[in-house]
Parts: sequence; structure tokens; C-alpha cells
Amino acid sequence: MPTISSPPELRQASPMTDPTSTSAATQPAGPHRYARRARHWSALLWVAPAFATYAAFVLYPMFQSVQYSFYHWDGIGPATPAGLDNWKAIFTQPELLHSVAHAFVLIIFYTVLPVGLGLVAAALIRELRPGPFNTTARVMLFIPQVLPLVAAGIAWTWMYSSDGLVNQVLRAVGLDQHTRAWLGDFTFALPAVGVIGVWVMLGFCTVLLLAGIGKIDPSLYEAARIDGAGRISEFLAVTLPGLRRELVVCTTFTMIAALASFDIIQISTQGGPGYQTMVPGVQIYRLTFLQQHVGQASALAVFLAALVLVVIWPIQRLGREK
Amino acid sequence: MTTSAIADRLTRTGILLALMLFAIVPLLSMLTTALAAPGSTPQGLSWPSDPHWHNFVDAWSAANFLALFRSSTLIVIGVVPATVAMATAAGYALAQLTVPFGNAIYGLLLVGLTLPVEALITPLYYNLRAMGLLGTRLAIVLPLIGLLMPFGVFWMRAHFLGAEPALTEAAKVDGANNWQTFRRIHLPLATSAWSALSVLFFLATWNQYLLPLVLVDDPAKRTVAGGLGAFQGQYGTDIVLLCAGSLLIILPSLVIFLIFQRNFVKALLQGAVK
Amino acid sequence: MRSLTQYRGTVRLAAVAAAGALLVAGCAPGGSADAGPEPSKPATTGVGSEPVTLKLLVTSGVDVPFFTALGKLFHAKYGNVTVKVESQDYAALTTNIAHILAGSNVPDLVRVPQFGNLIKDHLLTNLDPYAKAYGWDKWPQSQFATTRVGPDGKQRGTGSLYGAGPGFGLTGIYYNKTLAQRIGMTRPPATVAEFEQLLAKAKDAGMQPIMINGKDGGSVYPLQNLVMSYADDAQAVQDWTYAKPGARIDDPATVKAATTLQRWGHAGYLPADVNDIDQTRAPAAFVKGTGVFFPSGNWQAPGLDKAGAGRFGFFLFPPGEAGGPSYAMTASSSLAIPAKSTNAAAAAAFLDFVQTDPQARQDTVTLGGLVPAGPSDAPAPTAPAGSAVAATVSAFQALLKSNGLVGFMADATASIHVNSLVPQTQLLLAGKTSPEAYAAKVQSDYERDLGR
Repeated sequence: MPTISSPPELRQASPMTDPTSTSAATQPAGPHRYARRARHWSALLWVAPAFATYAAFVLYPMFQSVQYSFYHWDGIGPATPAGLDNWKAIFTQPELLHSVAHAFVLIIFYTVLPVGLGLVAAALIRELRPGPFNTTARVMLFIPQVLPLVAAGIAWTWMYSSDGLVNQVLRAVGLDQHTRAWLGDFTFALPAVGVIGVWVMLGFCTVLLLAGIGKIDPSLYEAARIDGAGRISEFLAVTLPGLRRELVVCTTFTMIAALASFDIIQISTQGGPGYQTMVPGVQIYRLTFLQQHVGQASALAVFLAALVLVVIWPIQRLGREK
Repeated sequence: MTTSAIADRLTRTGILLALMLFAIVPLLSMLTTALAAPGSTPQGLSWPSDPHWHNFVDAWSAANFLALFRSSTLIVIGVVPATVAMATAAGYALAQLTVPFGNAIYGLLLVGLTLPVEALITPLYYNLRAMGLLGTRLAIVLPLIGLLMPFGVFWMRAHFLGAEPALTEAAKVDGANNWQTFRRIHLPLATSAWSALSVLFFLATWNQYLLPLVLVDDPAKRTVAGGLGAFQGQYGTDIVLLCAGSLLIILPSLVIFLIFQRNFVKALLQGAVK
Repeated sequence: MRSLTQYRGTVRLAAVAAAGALLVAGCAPGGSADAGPEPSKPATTGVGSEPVTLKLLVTSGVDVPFFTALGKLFHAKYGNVTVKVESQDYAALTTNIAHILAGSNVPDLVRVPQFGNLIKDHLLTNLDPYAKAYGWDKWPQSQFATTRVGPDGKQRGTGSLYGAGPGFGLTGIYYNKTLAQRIGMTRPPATVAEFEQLLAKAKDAGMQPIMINGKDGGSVYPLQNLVMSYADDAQAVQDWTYAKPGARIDDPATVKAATTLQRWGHAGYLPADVNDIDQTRAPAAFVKGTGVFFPSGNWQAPGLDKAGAGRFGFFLFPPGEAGGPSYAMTASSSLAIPAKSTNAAAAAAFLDFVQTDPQARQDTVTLGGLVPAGPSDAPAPTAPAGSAVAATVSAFQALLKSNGLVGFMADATASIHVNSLVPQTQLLLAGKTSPEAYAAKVQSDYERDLGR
């Protein structure tokens, strides 16, 4: 899901958005005070249904995950206390540690490459005249975002197979010796899965950055041109800073997708060959249902959630500096 | 135009075309494979000399397509209106009304934006089992409402922060209470925001895979993505049938997107970077 | 939200407080502590007269047409019972089995390759009453060893019966008769060393010596065979597979076996992309002529005979020393009855049917490639002479006599195959782990799975 970004700057003065203002400060004194307070508490009713469902199906399970992580449990029988064993295992068991490392590798493919290529694509589309080619470009690039990730996994697994398109192209250009079963190869399986991520995320980043470029004041470009800036310096001085917010959104969204990835890996490699493409998402699923180590799964799950926050935090901070 | 400008133009168009091709090629490769002879192993991308269009008919029944589609629609009907309604009300309240503990509530909701669903899947499984809901569509609908809520509240709150205070004042002068102000004035003005949100929620629900996989065993009661996963598990080795079935299953989303693509993309960008 | 930081503080505090409260409350998750065998329910024979739909859940692949055919036979005999066959691929079924059986959409008969925690968690029906009612307890009992589980819910080989099935799998090596002739093979190799010489000859002649599926665990079977051949004895492996307390697999025989398999991989005796070949591609490639030898099991025999009658032969994995005992892995293609099934009686009748009905037994051999067991006086099914199926049937009979049938290592725990043996063997073949590390890792995963 798309995530955090900044609210409109224009509302800074409003008491509604300034969290430091307390309700007391805005309350008038006098006979209306009782009516005001009653109206305040009724405001909770507006929020109650939303918060209640959220608390029941997100917050409460999250606390339960934390709770489970301190037990050994197979999910059906009784649970035995485990102390910090499950947590220690995350750092001592190589499979668990490596799956976290793989998730970070995926960030290169889910975030760095799509943002980079997206900037290129957005810049290129921006220069096109409005018309059928312009629309077609946007639409085509965005299609991968619309499909379920499962479909992306299926399509690319077929393309990567020994008889698939990738090897076919290699043979066609005479690079026969480089053909291989990509998803079964120890060196190339993880990057191959990463490319699927590029495919899925590219359209999203392109369209987002395109909209962002559209919001940049053209007079800034004029000023840069007058100053004699070339293409690259214009890009660095005007475009990039102007895209700050879009870049934050893009990076946050794609990083979360990388760290929490499940669908694509489950469909294409199930974590193999060996443990080469194992990621925390798939690991948690396996630990819970195949191995029935619910405590260990929960510890890894809470660790993953904390990891996401730790990774997103600096991006959000960076995006906020003015 | 000078030659270098033409060359420049060509390179740029070339790069763009390459990226577009990259985006579309996996689907093309699935299409040509779907048309190959049943049970065969085609070589990469090659249009078969004798396209077997009836493979799609076979895949239709093998994938139990109608049931999948119906199930997904039911789940969407269960999730989207409820979530949008609750999120809109909450967003308005957090933006325009003074809610006691409003900061804490909103802060807690924000945490949910970054929570990976895998962190919750284990307790959700046991909770839903205790409630006796495992295997029913409700098992997908209820958690999904909870999971989508943070984004919904964030989105609608961001929109309502921009609500014109003068309108609210005018309404109050006329004697309207909060609810009436909301319903008659601000809600209609928010139409583009909540319709965009509905589109996003539709996509998120339709393409949801992990929740149905874990909570519902019967593929006919899952979402389209969940059903596709089960289809792959059963027919994974018959690549022709798999491609035909996959294409069938993603076709509705693709068609809807192509028809509404202008609104789709606009919807996505509308509030993403307010 | 420029004020995100302020929210963060509140949230953090709230989260810590709540988590702390929960932990202090000390409420442990989980159910009751009664382990032990399922209390027996009274058993009735026969299917009654009400219309019944029996739902079978099996593994994708050769299981599906086989059980569908058996289902049709059963329906022909009992018109009121319809058999519906559903399938999931092996890894998915192994992963999902526990929560399928605990859920609401429970099949009436399910293929259970490994019992895991299913008995301990009371998810399967105890078949002892049905065994008594149908007279299975009068048959040769060694056929039921692999589906017996002891009172602790973990140890196999003894205790109550939880599964029964139409027939038994058997592992061995198929060979392409034409290609084998070309490398001068006149009779099956008598030792592992002789087999390795044949592999070298095949490689020198430019052929692919072995075809095997490494993606989904086919390469684990020759490894187990090598372990037993080098140990000259299968008891250690059998104890380990049956979860006998104190059983270990990290011994010299395993290390030697892993070394050999790795050597075969490096020498090119196994396909270069072995870790990407699955159990549908391997036989397909073998039938097309890629691969002189195909280590697999009797379940592939019908398919091979159909693709090329008389072209493929079968021999048991050779022993370590000349004249030593031959071993093969066997597993009952057993079905279990989930405890939550509402058609247990009809399901048990189906199990009795597939083990005793002459036509069903014949189909088991010709369609499933499995060897039926059942009562000692049951009619022996026939197979065309010179076919792969005939070869596997006679090999099975020979091993029954010599006590050479052993359980699969892959069945030792619920997840040992998918989570340990398969990835570790892939690493071994790719040269990414050493034989010693391989043995140690498998043993430590095994102990973790069993909670030791």
C-alpha cells in the first residue's frame, strides 16, 4: 500500500493540524462549555468503527505476535516458555539471518532500479507531446502494477525457465554459453527474482515521478537555463529537489514491498535453490505452517516489522528537511 | 532539426520503447504459450503455427473461473464500501472535529501503514480459527478491512484537512450539527478522494494473495490472486494450461484498467503526494 | 506529518506498556496438554445406503489419475458413493496439511506423506477399530509398519494404525536398455563402485549418465541409497526415520554418501541444471533419451511403459560390497482419515476395497505402478513380461523376503524434506556445502523438528 507523506503545508496555522494545540486552548469559557465537551466525546463515535476494526485485526494480532515470540509453540498443543531463545536464533541461525540479508538485496531491485529507471522514463515521457503515444507509454508501463503479484511470478518463472524467453533471446544473439536455468542457479536466482521486482515497481515510480515533474514550476527551469545550466545540472538543481516528496513516497512504498515480499518468491522459487532466495515473509509462512514453530515465526515477524520502521524512518526524516 | 538532434530524439524514443517492451513482454510470452498445443513445451516466445484458442476454454473450467470471479467480487463488496465509509468518517473527524486522544489514535493508525502483513498472519490465523471463521470469506474480509484502514484514514484525513472552513462556518450559522455539515457539504466535495480510495482498495483486495492462502483452503472462496496461486499449484507442470488460466484470471483487471486508465492513474496520484 | 515524531512517542509508550502488560499476565497461547493416541471410535463396516461424496485429497502428479480410477471402481461397486479427487502439489500439501485438517473444509481421505504432529494434535482417526472390523489385523503386519505411530505421537513403526493404502512405492534405478547396451552394460551393477564405472563410461561416450530431479527432492533418494549401501546395514537409517530416541544420521556412512554424490555432480554425471529439473521434466527427458540411468521409483513405471514398452529396465540400487544386501526405500501410498471427517465409515470401506478388490489391485500395479500388499492369499496382479512394471514388482517381492525395505528419510519429520534435505542436497550438488556440514545440518534440523 502507498504510505506516509507530508500533508499540505498550507494548513500549518490551523489548530486542527497543529497537534501541540490542546482542545482546552480552543474552548470558549462560559455556558457553552458543557455543550462543547459533549460534542467532543461524540466525535469519538466517528472514529470508533475504524479504530475498532483496526485494533481488532491489526493491533491486537501484533501484540499477540510479540507474545508468541517468547514461547515454543506448535500452534495446536500447549506452549512452553522460551525466554529469548527465538530472538537469539534470528541472529545465530544462518537461514534466518540470510533471509533478512536477501530482503535487503531486494531493496536494490525493488527501489533503487525502479526509481532510477523511473526518473529516466518520466523525463522521457515528459518531453513527449500529449497524444496517443504519450498515453500508451504511461498505460503500458503501469500495467504490471495492476496485476496480482502472483501473475508476475508465474509470467517470469516461465520466462526464466530453460525453454523460456530469456534463454531464447540469449541464443538468438549468440550468447548460448550463458543460457541457464535462471531460477535454479545459485548465483543468479536472487537477482532474477529482483528483476521481477523491477518489472512490477517501474510503472508505479514512473507515473508518480511524472506527476511530480508536472508540478515543478516551469519558471525554475527557465532560471536554470538562463544561468547556463546543462541537462545534467538542470536535473540535479531543479528536477530532483522538486521531486523530493514523490521520491520519498516512491522509496517508502517500494522498500516496504521489498522487505515484506512474499507473493513473488512463494510462486517462483519458494526460497530455493538451497536458501538463496529465502526472504523473511516466506520464512515466517514456512515456520508457522510447515515447521509449526509458531514462536520462532512470531519473533521473525516482529523483527521484520521493526526492521521496516527502522529503514523507513531515515527516509521520512530526509524527506522532511527543508 | 540537426542530425544530432534527430539522433538524440531517436535514442530517447528508443529507450522509452525498450522500457515499454520490457513492461509488456512477459504477458506476450504467456499469450503465445497459452495458444500452443496442449501438454507441449513451447520454446520461449513463438507464435504457434496452429493457435489453440480452445485452451482458454479448457482453462476456464479447470480454474473454475466463474466461481473465482464471483468469490473475489463478493470479497470486494464486503471490504471496499465498509472500509471507505469508516475511513471517511474517521478522516473527517480527525481533520475537522476535535477528537479526544485524536493524536494518539492517529499515531497508532499510522504505525499500521508500515506493518508487513506477514507479521500478523500467524495470530490472525489462530484468532479466526477460534472465532470459527476459517475457510469462510469473512476470514478474508474482516482482517482486510483492518489492514486497509490506516491508509484509508490517512488518505481521507489528508483530503479533509483541505476542507474550506468558511463552508463549515456557514453551515453552523444555519444551525447544522457536525453530521449534517459533513453529509451535506464536505462529503460531496470529497467524492474524488473517496472514489479514488475505492479504486485503490479494489485493487488491493482483488490482488490479495497471502491472506486467502492462509485463511481459506477452498480456492473457490478466495480472491482471484489466491485462486491463481492454487491453480499454479495444481497445474504448474502443464505450462500451456497454466499460461491460459493465468491470462484468463488477470484479464478482467486488465480490461477494467484499460477502460478506466485515465481515472485510475489520476486516482492513484491524486492524494499520494498532497 | 511534520508531527510524526510526536505521535511516535505516544505510540512507542503505548506499545511497550501493552506488550509488557500482556507478558506479565503470562497467558500462554495454546491448547490442552493431552498427547497420546486418539481414543478409538466404534467402527462399522460397509457404506450404508445414503448417497455419500467421498473427498480425496492427494498430491498432484501420478496420484491423480490413479486415485480417480480407483474411485470409479469403488463407485461401480457401491453406486451411492461418489469419489471426488482433489490435489495439491507435494510441497504445498506438506505445508498446509495441518491447518487443512484443523479447518472446516476437511477431506475424507488424505495423502499423508509424513505424520509430523498430526497424531499428537488429534487430527487423524485411529484405524485400529477398522483394522479389527475388516480383518486387516490378520494380514502380514510388516506392511503396516510405516503407518503405525506410538503412544507418544512421534515414534513410528509401532503402536496404533493411522493410514492404509492401495500399494507400496519402491525405489531403484531405471535404465535405458539401448543406451546401456552401448556402454557395454550386460547385467545390473553388483556394487556401487561398478555402477560408478558405468557412469564414467557413459560420460566418456558423450551421454548424460544420470537423469534426476533436483528441484523437488529426487536427488535425495540416491543419497539415502548410498548411505545404506556404505553402511551395509539399514538399521541406523530406519531408526532415524522412525524417530527412535537417540537416532543419529551424522555418521561416516552419510558423509561418504554425500561425498560420492557431490563427486558425481562435479564429474558431470548428474545434469548440469539438476536443481531446476522437477519430477515431471525428469521422466520426460529420460523417455526422450537424455540419461542412461534414472533413479526413481515404481510409481514412474506405468508412464515409462506407456511411452516406450520394453525400452526401459529396472534394477535395485547396488550394495556397497559385492554380495552385500540390497536396500530400497518403500512407502505406503497411504491415505489417512481426518478426525473431523463425517464419512469415516465410507472412507474406511474405500481403504478396505483398494487393498482387497482384485480389479483395484490390478489397477494399482498397472496404473499406479505400486505393489499391492493386503492379505497373503490375495491374487497377485500380472504385468506384461519385460515391462518396467514387471521388473519393479519382482524386485519388491525379493526385497520383502530379504527384509530389505526401508522407510524414506524424507518422512522422518513433517518438514525435514522440504526444509532440510531438499535445500541441503541442492547446496551439496552445487558445491556450496561440505559433506560433513551436510550431515551435521540435517541432524540438527531433525533434532529441532522433534523438539530434542
